[in-house]
Parts: sequence; C-alpha cells; structure tokens
Amino acid sequence: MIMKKYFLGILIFTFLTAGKNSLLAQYNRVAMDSAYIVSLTAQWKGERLPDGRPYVSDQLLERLKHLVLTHAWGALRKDKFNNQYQGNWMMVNPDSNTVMTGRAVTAQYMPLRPDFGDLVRKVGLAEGHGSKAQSNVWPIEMLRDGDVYVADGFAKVKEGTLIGDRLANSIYSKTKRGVVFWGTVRNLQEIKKVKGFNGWILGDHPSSLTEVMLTSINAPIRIGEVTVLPGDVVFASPYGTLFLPAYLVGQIVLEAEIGNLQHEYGIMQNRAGKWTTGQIDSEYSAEMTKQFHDYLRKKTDAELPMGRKELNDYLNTHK
Amino acid sequence: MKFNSFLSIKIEFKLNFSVMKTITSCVLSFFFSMITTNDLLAQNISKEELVFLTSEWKGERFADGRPKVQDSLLIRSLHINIDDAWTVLKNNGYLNQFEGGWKMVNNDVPVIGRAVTAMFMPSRPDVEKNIKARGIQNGRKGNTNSWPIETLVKGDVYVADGFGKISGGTLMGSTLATSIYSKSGNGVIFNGASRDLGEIQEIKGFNAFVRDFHPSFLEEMILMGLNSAIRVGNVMVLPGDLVIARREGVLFVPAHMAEEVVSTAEFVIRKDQFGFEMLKLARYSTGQIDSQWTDEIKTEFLKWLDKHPELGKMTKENLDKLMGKRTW
Repeated sequence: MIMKKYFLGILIFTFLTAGKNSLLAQYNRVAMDSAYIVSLTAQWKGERLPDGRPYVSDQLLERLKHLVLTHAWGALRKDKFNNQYQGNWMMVNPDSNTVMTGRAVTAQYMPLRPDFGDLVRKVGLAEGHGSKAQSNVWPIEMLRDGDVYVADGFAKVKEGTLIGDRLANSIYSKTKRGVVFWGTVRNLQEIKKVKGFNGWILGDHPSSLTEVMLTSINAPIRIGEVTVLPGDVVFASPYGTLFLPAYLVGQIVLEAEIGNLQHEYGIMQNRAGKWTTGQIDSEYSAEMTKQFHDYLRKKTDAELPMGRKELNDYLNTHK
Repeated sequence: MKFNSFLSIKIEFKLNFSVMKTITSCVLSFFFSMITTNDLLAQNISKEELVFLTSEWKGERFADGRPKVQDSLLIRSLHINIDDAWTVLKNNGYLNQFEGGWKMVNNDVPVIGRAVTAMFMPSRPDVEKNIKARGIQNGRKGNTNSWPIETLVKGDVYVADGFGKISGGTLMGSTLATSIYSKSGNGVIFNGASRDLGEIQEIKGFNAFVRDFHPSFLEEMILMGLNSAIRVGNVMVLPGDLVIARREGVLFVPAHMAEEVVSTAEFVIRKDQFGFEMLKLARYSTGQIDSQWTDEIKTEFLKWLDKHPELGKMTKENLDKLMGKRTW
C-alpha cells in the first residue's frame, strides 16, 4: 500500500513537472530526448521510433510519392497549415530519384561562438556522439532507414558546406534517402555520383565548414518559410518540398487517392455519355456518390492504391 | 490542472485507508509543481537551462538565470567604439558577433543593454495550439509577440529573430514600442520588421534597429523561444549578452567578455588620445608610441590620465595587464 502510494505521488509529480519545458529546446542536450519529441508531436497517436519520432509506415511513404504536390499542399491548407511549402531549390540530381519521401531528422546550425561551442561539444560527447567526429557528423550517425536529413545551415554558402561526398555516401547507405539543406554542400561533382541519393540544397562551394556549430538535433528548425519538426514527413520533388505533420499524412494520402479515382471515374462516365460535363465538374449528387462508391467496392485489391480495410473505413464514414 | 483534480478523486475511491496522506502528498506535489512552473513565464527556458547555456558567466544573475552585466559596464559602454570592442572579441576567437545592414528610427540614439532574446518561427497549428494553451494557463494574454515584452526590466534590450520577414512580419507597432520603452528604457533589435514608424519616432530616447518598416500586421508567426539561443544574421545571440548598437551596426558581447571588452576599448581611446598629444608635443616618436611602452612612457601615461578624470581611472597593474595581452 505504501509503495503504491509513493509510486502514485511520484507519478503525479513527474506528470506535472514534465509539461514544464515541453516545446522548448533542451540546452542540457544536443540531441533532444524522446519525451521532448513526443510532447512536440503529441497529435501523433501511432507507432514511434526509439528516439520518439512518429513512425509513418514505409507503405504510406511509398503511396505519398504518387501524390500531386499541389493537391497535398491544398489539403494542408484546408487544415490551416499555411506555411509547409518551400520551393526554389537546387537539386543535386535533377534527372534521377526526383521524388523522395521520408521521416525528418532535423539539425540546426548557427554561427560559431566559442563559449557555446565548447559547451555543445562537452554535452554531445557525454551523450555518446562520436568523439572523433566533427559535430556536423553527429546527426548523420543517428540516421536510419527511411529518414531524410533536414538541416538549417542559415543559408551560408562559403564555409557553410554541411556535407561532402563522403558524408553523402554515408547518409545514403543509412537512409536510402537524401537531404534537404537550408545551406550548401561541397564537392557536388562527386556527390552526383552517389547512386540513389538526392539533395534539395541552396548551392555548393569548394570551401569546407568553418565558424559554424551544431546547436541541436531533432528540435524544431526553420527551412525557409517552414517550421519543421522531427518526424515530419518530407515530400521532396522537382516542384519543391512539403513538410507534412506526421498525424495528417494518412488522411491526406487517402483523400488524394480517392480524389484521383473519382476524377478517373467521372471521366469514364462522361465518355460513356452517362454523366454530363457539368455534373462531373461540380460536387457529386448523393446518387453519383453512391455509384462511385459501388465502383470502388468492386475494384480488386491489386487495383486499389490503399488497403481494403482503409477503403471500407472511408466508405463507412463518407456515406 | 484538471487532470490533477480528476486524479485526486479517483485516489479517494481507491485508497480509502490512506486517503488523507495521499491527498496531502498530492497537494504537496501539486504545490511544488506550481512553484516550479510559476517562477517561469510561458515560453521561458528553465533557469537551470539558462544558467547552463551561459555557464561561462560567473557573476550576478537575474531571478530567471539571465547574466546581469553590471550597470556600471552598461554606462561605460556608452563611451567606447564598436570597432575597438569588435577587435577585442575577434582576438579572443569570437569572430561572429557583429551584424550590420539595419534600418533605424534614429541615427544618433545608441541602444545599449542586456539582451532578452525571442525566437519567432513560421506558425503551424499543431505547435501554436500547445503554445497558446500553455500561455493562457500561465496568465498570458494577446498575441505571442507581446509575451517577451512583459518580461522586460530596466536596462534590457529586446532582441528578436523574426527570420527577416517584412510583410506580415511586423513584431511591433506604436503601442508595443511605447510599452517596450517604458519597461526597458531602451530600444530594440529586430531581425524582422516594425510598423508605425511615424508614431514610433515621436518616442524620445527610443530606437529600433530593424530590417525594414511595413504597414502590415503580424501574421502566421509564433514565438518558439524566449531567452533561448537565437540567430540575428551572422550572429548567435544568447540571453544576457551586452548589446551595443550604433549607426554602424550591432555588436553582441558575450556577458563573460563584457568587462574585458569594455576595459580594453576604453584603454584604446585613452591610449590614442595620449599618443596624439605626445606626438604633437614631439615627446616620443611614432615607433615608441605604437609598440610596447617603456616604463617611462607608462608612468607618463598614468600621470597624464590623472589630469583627465573624464577618461576614467587606471592603476599601473591594470595598464600592465592590458599592455601585456595586447589583444586589441
């Protein structure tokens, strides 16, 4: 009884104090801890990675690749996310692997000041980051399959190069993905040769990183006009990048897929002379919707982009 | 808070025997957590973290943990040159502490004081919801851009990163400017914009270093950190930094460097004035004045300084120390 009581007391105390610093970067850490990341992304109810980041499934990431950027952007705006798009990128490879989706690992860099720089070094080593590595390698050491490395290098060009071809190779072998940098790279010529890799960057320069320090890993960062959280889903394409809150991805992908099927079905019905152009170009009547939903039910699993259960759940809630 | 009372009720039913004790411990832990949350205002980083962030500073601190560079140093900073102070920082390995390229309200009103930092970022509903909810719980009112202003005290300089946003990025208008000036007695440094220039320029003693002015209201921005590390152009600013802003730009002096920077910069002014006079009188050659001084020159300098009380005081020991380092 007494044990139980104390346990409860401690639990309540922990709960009440835990909320205190949520949403604020932790200065006694370089890489944010799981509790902090969970508090930042509390809307996500699904599975999480050991570091606390939301784990949006690989299948969903794959399905997201087929979305039209404009549609996903519109869906985000509908949910009042007005600042999730950033364009005007230079792509490392404009001709291959041009659409990339993955889970964001975020890193923030700032102009060096020796007092804070020494502190970050000390704290980072205590956290177990590589003692032989420069701090710009620390986030890369943490990457895993399906991650996209997103870093704010405050748009510094000369002496602001966050990776060269060695690190690009390492990033690709860990993530099978690439990077989004509000900053630059060096040795672009060689980075282009890393098969499967791609990067959305501001430019390149032959110099190496100087007078720049890492200030945080997996804290909120700014990429141009976007605030990016750890575990956001990155959608990077030749038409720009979107950073989707993890908890909205499932819904956005499904609705876009249904939208595409509806578009196809409408054209089919129009060609067959069953529905007029005016009918398919405005909101469907209840009868049209019913016909469309029957059409969806008759599709085989192989013809459906989404799972059967997901479709049925959708149909049951959208009668 | 709702959660807590809900839990208390549940406990009463479950543990009827030790109800009183449990409630006491509940109330105690509740009370404890109130203390630890209420001495910090919403969005502030905790005192421990602030102290950690600025751990090079060994002197006095504010209740919230921010380094408190002495008032006397703030006053002395009025008379030094930014160029001299910049050189001291550079020679100590601080290469990224100056930022230029500002628009200002008044060309000849310097802004000098201790930094209170605020970081603004593009808004997103998931984050904004949490921040606003907690702000209200902590008695905050209005938009998040007024929250840092409520914390200002005399001698502070409000420094905000509005990521250079101009249209829709106006961090203050005439009302907030008036409030800032009455609380801090100082101007502001914004890596962003301000509105209401016409009215702001009527506030005597106030100044604002901004990227531009714009008639729009603030929109789609959210306060993500108060007294956290922020970036202003090519400088990382920490809370408690000594801010020296003049026409040429803004220098952010780390608090623990302030004493050395100001003393050295003062000495450079004295040394130059002494040097000019000696050269005019042809007492010493340029070479003698411009290299390490002999004991004879040092004695002469100290005598000269005694006759110029407006330039401050120095002992032989101070002089030897500054000449010895010669980091300026």
